[in-house]
Amino acid sequence: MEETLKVVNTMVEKSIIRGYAIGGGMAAAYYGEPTLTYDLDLFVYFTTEDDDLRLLEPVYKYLIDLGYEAVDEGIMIEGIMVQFLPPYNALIKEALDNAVTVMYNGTETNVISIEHLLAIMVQTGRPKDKLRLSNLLEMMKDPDSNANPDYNELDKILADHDLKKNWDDFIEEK
Amino acid sequence: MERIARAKLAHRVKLANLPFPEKVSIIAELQKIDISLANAAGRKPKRAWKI
Repeated sequence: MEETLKVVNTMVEKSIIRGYAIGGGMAAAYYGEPTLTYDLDLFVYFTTEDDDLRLLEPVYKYLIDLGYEAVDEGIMIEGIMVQFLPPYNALIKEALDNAVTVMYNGTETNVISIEHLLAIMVQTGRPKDKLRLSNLLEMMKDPDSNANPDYNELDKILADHDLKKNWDDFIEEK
Repeated sequence: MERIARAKLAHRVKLANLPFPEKVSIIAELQKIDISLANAAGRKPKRAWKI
């Protein structure tokens, strides 16, 4: 994984992409328990305009020229399946802008904040996101846990993106 | 019952507080188990990470 992150960091240095942050199951695993996932989801600022259908072209060209293999909807980089995802709505853009820089051994990387991760999971509402959200909420009960969001910040994000009701409904359902 | 629930949560928190690279190693192990199960059930397995 560290080698994978080094490749992606080099893509930023070479302006193949403008920036990235880890999201999805791997971000959930960063803050909570490790659970099964097969994809490293990266939210990415591409170099072309957001509405350009060829967003991924420079990314794939760069990586395939380096010998990496495109598989299904991702690309295998140093043994890890990576999916490059555009910030497809305002919440994801905000998550990308406010990502947290962390170290993976000796390599710097970015992970979306736990507050944004929780809001995204409520917004998408897919069964696997609900399960991850439920797991993180369990962790949040323990003050010693890493899953320790700033509740004021979370409230603000939920309000800004019209997700308060979704959140309350989820908590009630749980 | 409550003691068991507390102990389970404490164990999960321990896992959650592991360093990121250790969590990634656990995910790779989970993939191996999932792939074995997929093979046994005759499902097409996903591709495991090589880390």
